Formats: sequence, C-alpha cells, structure tokens
Amino acid sequence: MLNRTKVDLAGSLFIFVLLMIFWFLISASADWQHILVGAIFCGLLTVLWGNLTITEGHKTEFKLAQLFMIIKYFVILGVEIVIANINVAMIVLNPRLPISPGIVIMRCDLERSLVRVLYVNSITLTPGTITVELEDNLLIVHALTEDVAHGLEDWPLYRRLMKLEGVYKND
Amino acid sequence: MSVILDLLALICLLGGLFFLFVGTLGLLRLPDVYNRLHATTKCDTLGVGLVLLSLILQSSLAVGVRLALLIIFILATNPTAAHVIARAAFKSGIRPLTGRRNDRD
Amino acid sequence: MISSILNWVVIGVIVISLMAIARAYKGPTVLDRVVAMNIITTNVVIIILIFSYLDNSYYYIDVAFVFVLGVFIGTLCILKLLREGHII
Repeated sequence: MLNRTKVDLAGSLFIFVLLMIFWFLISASADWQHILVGAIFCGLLTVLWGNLTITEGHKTEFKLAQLFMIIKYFVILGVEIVIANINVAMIVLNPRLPISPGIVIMRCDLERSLVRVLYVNSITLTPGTITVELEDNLLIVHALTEDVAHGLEDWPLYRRLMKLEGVYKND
Repeated sequence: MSVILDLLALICLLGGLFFLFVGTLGLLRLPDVYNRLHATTKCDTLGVGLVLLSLILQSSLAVGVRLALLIIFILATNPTAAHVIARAAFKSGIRPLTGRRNDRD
Repeated sequence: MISSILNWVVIGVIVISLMAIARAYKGPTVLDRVVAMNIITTNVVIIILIFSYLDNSYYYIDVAFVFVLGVFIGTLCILKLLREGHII
C-alpha cells in the first residue's frame, strides 16, 4: 500500500464485488447491519491488501470463453481425482505393496501465477504424483510408480492450461 | 425421489469413509514421507469431499452452499499443504527411496 | 434416514484418527508427524460438520471454516520454523 505506483480501479472493484459475494454466501442474511459490516471489511481488505491479489501488472479481466474453459477443466479434474483415488487404493490394499517411487524433472512453460498454482495443485491431486518444487520453469515431481512417471509427458490437462493462457496472449 | 436421494447420500457417506480409511492405512504402510503424502493427500481430499456431499444432499439450500464453499476451500488448501511438506522434506535433505521395491525384499 | 448411521460414522472417524495417532507416535521424522496431524484435523472437521447436521445448528459451519484456515496457517508456520528457525 505504501509504495503503490498506480491504482488499478477495475481490478479493485472486481475484487470488492468478489469479496461481497463471498460475504453474502457466508452470512446468508440481508439485514442492513450485515451489509454495512461486510462492506466496511471488504473495502478495508481491498484498499490495504489489494496489491497482493492484483499482481505482476496484469490487468484483472474476465472473459466468457475463459469461464467455460475453467468449468470444463474442473469437470475433467474431478474425474481424474476419482481415478487417482481408486489407483492409490488398489496399491495400498495390495498385500505386496507394488510401488516403484522416483523423482521426475520436467519443464513448465506457464507464466501467470494463478495458472501455475492451478497446474501444481492438479498434479498433486491426480494419479500418483506430487509436486516437490517449482523453480522458474523447472518442475520437480515425485512419482509413486514408474508408469505414472512416463505418462506425465503428454498430460491432457497441461495442454488445456496452455490453451487457457493463450486467451491472454492473443490480445 | 426422496428414497433415491437417501440412497445416494448413503453411498457417498460410505465411499468417503472407505477412502479416509485407505488414506490412513497408506500412512501406516508406505515406507517414506513422500509416499505417505501420496496416500494421504488424494484419499483425504476425496474422502472429505464425499462425506460433505452426502451432507449437502440431505440439507437445505443455504446450508448446502456453505458446505460447497467449504469443499472448495479444502480442495485448495490440502494440496498446497502437501506441496509445502514435500518441499520442506526435499530441502532438509531427506532422500526419497527409488527403484522397484519388490525386488529387494 | 442417514442420521441413524451418522453416530457410527463418527465412531469410524475416531478409529481412523487413532490409526493416524499411531503413525504420529512412531514417525521417524517431524514431517511424518505433521502429515498425521493433517489427517487428524481433517477428521475433526468431519466430526464438527456431522454434529452440526445432527443438532440442526448451522453456526458450527463457521467454526469449521475458521478451523480449516487456522490449521493451514499452522502447518505453514511449523514448516517455516523447521526450515529457518524463526517465524517472523
């Protein structure tokens, strides 16, 4: 807040509206006291810590195509999570415990920090892999079995995320 | 209709309990910090999700929205905590086991 | 109908937490204990929400929110303390 150079008005307003929606969902009432307290706190959060959420000088913008992409992504992610759990359950319940763990180092060309967070968390939730470290564009992944480590090369969700970032680059 | 909802909630509840059990069994059986994280992160997240889904199916709309928000919250924080633990283990020099385990014993 | 078996579900979740406590007792490193603590807190969230359903008192859900947030921050603090020796 102290050394902020320029104020991103549209981004601040977007975050304020988002926080107000969250407040209404949590408080679930429409008294004027609730609305007043919520507006005061959301305004304080936006003014004091807004520069933490609006990062890297990117403009906060919202596109319809992007929304559909994200919804489709989360549907596929849900299916992958269920497959991952059945996979892990088969390994753990097998009395011989057939694991062959190892470390894989990969490239990651995503740039926006939100998309990177989404990518890393998806890797952690999908079959047999957890992210250990993400440096600039090197990704260290721990894999539970050998097959998973080989299957990580052309992962369909990664291509979707690249496409999601491509929406911004076309401008 | 109500019977179908009840049955669906029951299936979700038992499935969630099963996955929680499997995750904790993995925590007891697997040999390494990294491998234990594999079992706990995935199974815990899905287990909590299924148990909360069965509660959503049985409660009113205002409560269901809050429970759905809680699911999203857990879905965001759980993998992040796992990533931080794995990173701390890696930086503090705990070497992961590698290779095929069954050949050795 | 589901509320008749929720008591047994609570007992099952407590048994699962006892299994995690066994790992926290045995665990060779601190990180194993942190993982076990994560599982136990997840189970506590489930128990809070089941009691909120059985009591029909929805304020417990806010308690669960704050609990999840506090546990997340607590995990980060423990790991930062382990790595750097101080938190602030």
